[in-house]
Amino acid sequence: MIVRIIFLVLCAVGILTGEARAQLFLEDGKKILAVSGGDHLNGSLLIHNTSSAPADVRVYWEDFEYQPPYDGTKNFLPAGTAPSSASQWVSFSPQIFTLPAFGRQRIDYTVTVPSQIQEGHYGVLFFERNSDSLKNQEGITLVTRVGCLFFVEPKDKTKKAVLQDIALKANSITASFVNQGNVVLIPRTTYYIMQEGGLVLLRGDIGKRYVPPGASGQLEIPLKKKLDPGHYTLVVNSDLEEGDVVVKEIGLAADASGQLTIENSQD
Amino acid sequence: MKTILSLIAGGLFLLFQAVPVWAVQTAFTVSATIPDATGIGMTVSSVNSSTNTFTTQPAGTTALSFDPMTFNSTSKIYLPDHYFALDIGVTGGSGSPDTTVTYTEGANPNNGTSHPNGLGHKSTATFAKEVAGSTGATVETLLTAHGPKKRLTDLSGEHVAFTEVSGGFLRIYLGIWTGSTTSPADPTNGEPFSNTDVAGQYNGSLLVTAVVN
Repeated sequence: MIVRIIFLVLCAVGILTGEARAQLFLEDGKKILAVSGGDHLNGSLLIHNTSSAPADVRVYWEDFEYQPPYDGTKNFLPAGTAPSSASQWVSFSPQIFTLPAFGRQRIDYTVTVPSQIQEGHYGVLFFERNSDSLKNQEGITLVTRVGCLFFVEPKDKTKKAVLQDIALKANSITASFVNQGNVVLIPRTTYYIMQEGGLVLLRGDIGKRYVPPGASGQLEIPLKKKLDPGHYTLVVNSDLEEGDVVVKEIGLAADASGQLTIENSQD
Repeated sequence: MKTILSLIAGGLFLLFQAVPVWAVQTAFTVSATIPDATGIGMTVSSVNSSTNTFTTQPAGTTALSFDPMTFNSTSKIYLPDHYFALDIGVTGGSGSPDTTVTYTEGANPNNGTSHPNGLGHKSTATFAKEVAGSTGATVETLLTAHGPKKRLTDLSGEHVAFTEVSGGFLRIYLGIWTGSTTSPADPTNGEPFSNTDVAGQYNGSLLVTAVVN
């Protein structure tokens, strides 16, 4: 009985802590829409208030752009200011509402694509909790928001990229992932180093990159151990999802001192 | 002969009984899709500057006042008796939301003077990862990639990746610049509130954003 009471008390503490922490929860943080010119799409998002206090919420659109080093860092911009903005295509309702304690709200959106779509268009729908502003006091007003990223991309999109500018750095090999397509590419890159006999000596993966069209993201492959003298092949494989890959084979040679040189590279 | 015919008839009967059973065998595909969920919540604590005692503020607290600011006759600057700890919990489901922090200057009575800096230059944010320990206290790791201490005015799209705080949560300490050289030292380009500042209320807003990549 005592154990049961202790368990219930701990559960109650956990629930209270959770209430204090979680407030706005958006079920779907990313919408990837494949569209054709003239399409008219409808959808909805669901936002929850996971706290015991009501929350006034404002919904608005902003543009975003991935920023160098393209590790996911984003620059948020006013609606309609980014070259690839989708703000003119998206409408949504409601734009202001009150979420009751532990309540939820559905937000309907419509995407109206113009007659032609040449490249990917992007933006983020933000849900911002209204804050009590400081009145006649010195201090900081906290504002929190969650967002759903919208990727509106042509059905016949071009996913094309190259790995170039292969170079040696101290204890690593660098390469540039250049997006030559018309949509944001999100490569997940893996690599391995083979000996001449085909034995794999080293393998690993590089964190995802988020590379807009025309941009170049830097990839760095760490060489965790010194290679014995000989010839090696480094295979770099960037998975672009949906079956698309970019592969680069790089010939390496290590001399007696362990010094590496790049012998050749091919796609 | 009768026996053989009976056995064949029985076998055929059983076969026809069994066929419908085979016919209704269907392979069902079972699947579930978990979306890239994104959630954000905050716990705000006021921390006593002398004792470092945390006092959790009511849920939904968004106005963080440093008042009262009192004059320190030794250092000749104005100091509050507290600072704030902002615990930011991002929830991801299968998504991994990153946190972005941006400060915007608000009321600044120094505007238009020869020393126009406001609260953003006179306050700091310290970034840390907190992991719950066995005793209830948290184990803190300062995030040096973010300073770990910066002036608020330097927070423009400060991006804290989900992976930087995986297994724990992000804590941001917000305080008034004191010129402390104790690690983590106050940034040397900050400045204190002093009698050279114009009297009045200085404030600003801190926008905390959670989105997936």
